Amino acid sequence: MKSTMLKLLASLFALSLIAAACGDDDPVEDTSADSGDADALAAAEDALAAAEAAKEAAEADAEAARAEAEEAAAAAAGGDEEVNPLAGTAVRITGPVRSPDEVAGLMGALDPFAEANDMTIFYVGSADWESEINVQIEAGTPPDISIFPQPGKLADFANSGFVLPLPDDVTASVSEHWSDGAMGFGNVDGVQYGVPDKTDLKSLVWYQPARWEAAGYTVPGSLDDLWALSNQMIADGNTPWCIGIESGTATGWSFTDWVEDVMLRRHSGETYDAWTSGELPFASPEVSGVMQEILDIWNTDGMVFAQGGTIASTSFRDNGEPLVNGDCFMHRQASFFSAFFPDGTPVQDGSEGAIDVFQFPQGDTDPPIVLTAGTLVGAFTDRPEVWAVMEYFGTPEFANLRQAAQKEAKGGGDVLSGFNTANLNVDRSLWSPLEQSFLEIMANNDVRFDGSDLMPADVGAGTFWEQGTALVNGETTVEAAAAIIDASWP
Amino acid sequence: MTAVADDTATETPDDADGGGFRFGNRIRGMVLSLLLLGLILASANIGQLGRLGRISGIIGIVVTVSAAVFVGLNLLVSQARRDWAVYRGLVGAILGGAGFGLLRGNRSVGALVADSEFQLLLEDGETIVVEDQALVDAIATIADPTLLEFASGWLGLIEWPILGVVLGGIAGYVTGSADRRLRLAAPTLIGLVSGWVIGGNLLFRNRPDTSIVSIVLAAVIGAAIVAGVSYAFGKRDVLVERALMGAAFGATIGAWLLPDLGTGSLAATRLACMVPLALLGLRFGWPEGRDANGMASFDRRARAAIFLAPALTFLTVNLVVPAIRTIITSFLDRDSEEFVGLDNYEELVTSERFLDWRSWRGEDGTLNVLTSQLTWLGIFLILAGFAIAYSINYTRNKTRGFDHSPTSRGTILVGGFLLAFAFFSVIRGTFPNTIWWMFTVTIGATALGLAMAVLSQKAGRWENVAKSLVFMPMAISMVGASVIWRLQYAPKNISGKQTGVLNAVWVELGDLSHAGVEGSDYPAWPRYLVLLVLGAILARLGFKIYGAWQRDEGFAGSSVGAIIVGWLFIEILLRDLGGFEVLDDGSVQAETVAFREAVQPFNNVYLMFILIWIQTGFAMVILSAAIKAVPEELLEAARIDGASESEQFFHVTLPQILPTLGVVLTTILVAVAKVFDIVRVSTGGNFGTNVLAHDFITESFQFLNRGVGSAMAVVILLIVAPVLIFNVYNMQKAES
Repeated sequence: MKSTMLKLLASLFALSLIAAACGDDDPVEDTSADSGDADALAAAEDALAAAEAAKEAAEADAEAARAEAEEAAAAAAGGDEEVNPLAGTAVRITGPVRSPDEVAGLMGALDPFAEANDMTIFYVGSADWESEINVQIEAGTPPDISIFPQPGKLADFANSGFVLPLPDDVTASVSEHWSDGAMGFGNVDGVQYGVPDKTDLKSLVWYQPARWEAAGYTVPGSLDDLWALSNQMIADGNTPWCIGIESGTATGWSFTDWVEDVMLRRHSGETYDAWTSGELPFASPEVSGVMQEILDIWNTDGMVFAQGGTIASTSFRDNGEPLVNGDCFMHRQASFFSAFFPDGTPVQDGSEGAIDVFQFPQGDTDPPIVLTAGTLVGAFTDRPEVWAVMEYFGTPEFANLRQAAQKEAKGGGDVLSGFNTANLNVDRSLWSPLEQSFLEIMANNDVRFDGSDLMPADVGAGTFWEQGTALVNGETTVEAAAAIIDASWP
Repeated sequence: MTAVADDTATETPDDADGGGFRFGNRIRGMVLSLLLLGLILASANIGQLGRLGRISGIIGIVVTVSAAVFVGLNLLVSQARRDWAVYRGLVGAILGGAGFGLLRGNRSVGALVADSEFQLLLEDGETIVVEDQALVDAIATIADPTLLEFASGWLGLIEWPILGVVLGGIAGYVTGSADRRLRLAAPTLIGLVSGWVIGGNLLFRNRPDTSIVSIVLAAVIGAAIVAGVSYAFGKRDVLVERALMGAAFGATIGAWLLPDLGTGSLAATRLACMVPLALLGLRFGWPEGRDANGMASFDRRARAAIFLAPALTFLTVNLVVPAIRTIITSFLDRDSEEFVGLDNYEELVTSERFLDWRSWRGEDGTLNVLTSQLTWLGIFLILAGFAIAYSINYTRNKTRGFDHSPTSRGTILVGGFLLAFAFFSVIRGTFPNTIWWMFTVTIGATALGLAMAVLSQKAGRWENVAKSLVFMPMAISMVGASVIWRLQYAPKNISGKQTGVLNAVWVELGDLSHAGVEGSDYPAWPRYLVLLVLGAILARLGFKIYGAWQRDEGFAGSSVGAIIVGWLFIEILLRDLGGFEVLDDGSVQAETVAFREAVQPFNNVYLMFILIWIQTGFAMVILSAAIKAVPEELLEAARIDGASESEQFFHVTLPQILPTLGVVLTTILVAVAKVFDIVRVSTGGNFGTNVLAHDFITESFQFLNRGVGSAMAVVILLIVAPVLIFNVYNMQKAES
C-alpha cells in the first residue's frame, strides 16, 4: 500500500506543478490606484523612465536594422554577402497558387532571395485558400504574407485591420515598377495595402489563324463586328464559340468575366467603377442590358460548342481541346488559359493548327480599357523581414526570376509560361512573343480589375456566380437574377 | 492499476495494517515517478523543440498526464475505503497544491521566498524587467502595461505548490482523524494560516476594497440561504455543513466579487482570504466519520464520475459549448458583435434561397402541383391500392371494407412517395431540399437495405458475396462516391462519344429505338430482335399471370414485371426510348441528359441516389443481423399455420425487427440532415441543389456572414432534435 501511495504522491506533485505552469499571460486589469504606496510609485516612475530610454535606443536599432534589411533586399539579386539582418529569419506565405508549374515559378523567384539573405521562406498553397485564410485570421494565426487573388478580399481584411498598410518606403519603391492603375488595386481609401505580383490579361480571344484564313474570316475590330462575324460563322455551318462555365464551387465566373468585358465595351470606365463599387445596381438598364446581350448571343442556335453537353456543365478547362480540334472557332478566356491547351499545341508559329489570340474587340469606350485580373500580396505581421519580402514581390527581379523558373517548369524554350505581369520594368525578352504582346497590351492600355473580384464576397463570389450560372442554365430571368444579386449586397 | 493494489493486498499478509512494501511495486512506483518527472522537465524545455516537435510533445504530455491522472484518481478511490484519513490527506494535498499552483501560475501572488523578476510588456511592445512585485503593480497604475511573464528560479516556480501540498495535506489528513476537537481546530487553523500567507503576498492589483462587516454580513446571508434551502429539501442531518459551506461562499462573494479590486488595504486583503478559507476548513472538519455504507456509496459514485468525466469533458468542450455558441451567434450580426434579435432568422426565412414558392403557381395562376404527372400518378396509385384492398376483402369476406395485403400497401406507399415528390418539386429552396433529402434517402436506403437483407438470405452460399458488394460503397468516402457518380452522370457534346455510363446507355437506347432511320448507326434488324425478345418475355409473363389467376395465387411480382417489360416494348415499338432529338428534316440526333444541371428539380434525386447507394449497405447489414436474430420457432409456427413467404415476413419478421428498423431509420435520417460533401462535389450548390448543411458553410466561411450561417445551423439542429429526442426516449423505454 505504501508503494501505491508513493506513486500517488508523484502524480500529485506533477499535477500541482502543471497547475503552476499552466497560467496564461493574463492581461492586467485596468486599475486606478488611489492606494498610495508612494515609495513604490516613485520607484516605478524611475523604472519607467529607464525603460523609455532603453526603448528609444532599441527603436533606433530597429530603424537601423530596417535600413540594412532594405539595402540587403536591393542587393539580394546581385548576391551580396555582407552580414545580413535578415539572416536566420523566417517568413510564412500562403496563397491559392497550387499547380506544380506555378509553384515552381513562385519558389524559383523566392528561393534565390531567401538564399541570398540566408533566411527561410515557407510557401503553403491551398485549393481552399478562400476559407482557410478566414479561419486562420479568426484563430489569430495568420501567415506573415498571403497572396490575394481578389482585391475585394484584401480590402475587407484591410478595413478590419488584419492586413497592415505598407510602410511608405516600400510603397515608394514598389510604385517605381507599376503603373498607378495596377497599384490602385491594392489601395484602400488612399492607403496602400497590397503589392501586385502577377497580372493576367482577361480581354483575349483564342483562335486558330490558319483556319480563319481558310474560311475567309478576319479579326473583328468592334464588338458589333464580332457578333456579326459569329452569325456569319453559323450561316457558314461553323460553330463560333467554345464556352463552358463550370468550375467546381466557383462555377459561373467565366460568365461574370464576359459581363465585365462587355460592360467595359458598351459603357465607360466610370460606369464600370460605379457598378463594381455597388453604386450602379445590377437591375439598372446598363448592367441588365449587358447580361441580356450575352445571354442572347449564347442562346443563339449553333452559337456555342459545349464540350460537356451544356454550357453550365462544361468545365472552363475543357474548352482548349475543342478549339484545337476545330470544334469551334473562338474561345474568350484570360491569358493564363495557355496552360489548358493540350500538351504540344503549337503557338503562333504560323503552322496549321497553331493557336493565337486577338484582343477582345474594343467597343465605344475611349481610350480603350482592358480587363485584367491578378494577385496581390498583403502582409499580416509587422517585421523587417516580412516587409523586405513584400518589397521583393513588387520588383522586376522577382518577375524575371519567376518567369524564368515557370518557363523552365513548362519545358523551357519559347513556351507560354502562363505567368504575366504588368510590372513596367521587366525584361520582356524572357517571355515568348505571344506573351510579350500581353505585357504590351497591359502596359499600353487603361486597365480595370475583374469586377467580381472587387465586389464583396457575398456578391462577387456568391450571388453573381450563382445567379449567372442559373441564367446560363435557363433557370431564371435577368430581371429576377438582378433583383437577387442586388438584395445580397451587404 | 487497481490490480497493483490488489496484488499487494493478497500477496503481502501484513499489508492490512499498511506496513507492506514490496520491491516490485517500489520499482514500478519509481518508474512511474521518473516518467512523470521526465515529462515535467520535457514540458519546461518544450519551447526549444521545432514547431512540429513542440506540438507532438504537447500532445504526448497531455495524453500521458491525462492517463496518469485518470489512473491516479482510480487508485485514490481504491485507497479511500481502506484508509480514510490518508485519502483525505491526499485529496487535500492535491487541492491545496493545485489551488496554490493556480494562484501562482496566474500571477496573482508574488514570490514566497525565492527571488523573482517580472517582465512587463508595455503597450507599444517594449519590455522592462522589474524585480519587486509592488513595483509591478505601481507601474501598472501609471503606464498601463500588460504583464507578460514572470521569471524566477526553480524554487520560485514550485514554492507555492509545495506549500499548498503541505498545508492541504495536513488539513485533509486531520479531517479524517478520530478526535473531534482536533478535526475541527486543525483545518480551521490551517485555513487561517493559508489566508494570511495568500493575502500577504497577493499582488496590489488583486487587493479587494472590502471590510470585515461586509464579509461577515455576506457570510451570514450565504449561510442562511443555503441552510434554508437544505432545510426545505429535508437535508436536516447535514444542515451545519451546508450552512458552513454557504457561509464560505457568501464570504468569498462579499470579499471578492462585490468590492472593487486593486484598491484594498493589506489588512482587508488578509481578512478576505482568511475568512472563507477558515470557514471551508471548519466545514470539512465538521462531519462525523463516515460509516461503511456511506463509503460504499461514495466509492460507487466517485468511480462513475471518474469514468464518465473524460467523455463528458470532451463532449462538453467539442459539442455542447459550440452548440450554445452557435445559438448565441445566430442572434448576433454578421460579425458577431451586436445583438440583432431574430433578424437573421427573418432574413433566412423570407429569402428565396431558403424557401422558394415561385414555382408553386404557374404563370397562369394554376397550381403547378395539379398539372404535374407525378401528382396524378401518385393519387392513382393510392386509389389503386385501396381498390386492391377492397377487392381482396370482398373476395374473401363478401363485405365492404379494406383488407390490406403487401401488394395494396406497397402500391399505396409508392403512390404516397410520388405525391410527396410532386410537392417537393414545386416548393424549392434549401429548406424543402433538405427535407426532401431526408425523406427520400431515409426511405430509399432503408427499403432497399431491407430488401437486400431479405433477398440475400435466399442467396445461399452467395449471400456473403452479395452482401459484401452491397456494403462496399460504405467504405467509400462521400467525396469519392460523388466523384464516381459525377463521372457516370457526365454528358459529353453529341459530336463525340459519351464517356458517362448513363448517358452512353441512354443515347445508345435512343439510337437503337430508331434503328434504320437516317442518323442512326444501327441497321433495322437489331430493333426487331429486341422487340422479339421483349415480346417473348411479355408472353411468358402473361401465361404466368393467367396460371396464377386460375390457381387463385398472388401475381403481384409478375404484374410489375409485365408492366415494365410492356412499357419498354411499347417505347421501342413507337421509337420513343432513349436520348434523341428528331431534327426538322426527319433525321435523328443524339440528345444527352445533364443529370446534375439540366433536369431540375429532379437533379436533386440523382444526387440523393448517391447517398442511397452508400447507405443501403449500412441498412442492410444492421437489418440482416436483426432478421437472423428472429427466433426460428416463430417462423416455423407460422409456416405450420400455412403462412406464405410474404405473410411470414410481414406478420412475423417485420414486427420482430421493428426496433432495429427504428434505429436504422433515425441513424440515416440524422446522417442525411447533415449531408454536405455530395452537394459540394457534385454541383457546388448550384442548379437548385443547395441544402442547409452546404449553404451554411458557404454563408459562414465564404461570405463570413456568421449570423445567418449560424441561424441555418440552428435550423438543422431543430430538424434533427426531434429525431434524437425520439431515439433517446425509445432507448429509455427499452431499458425500463
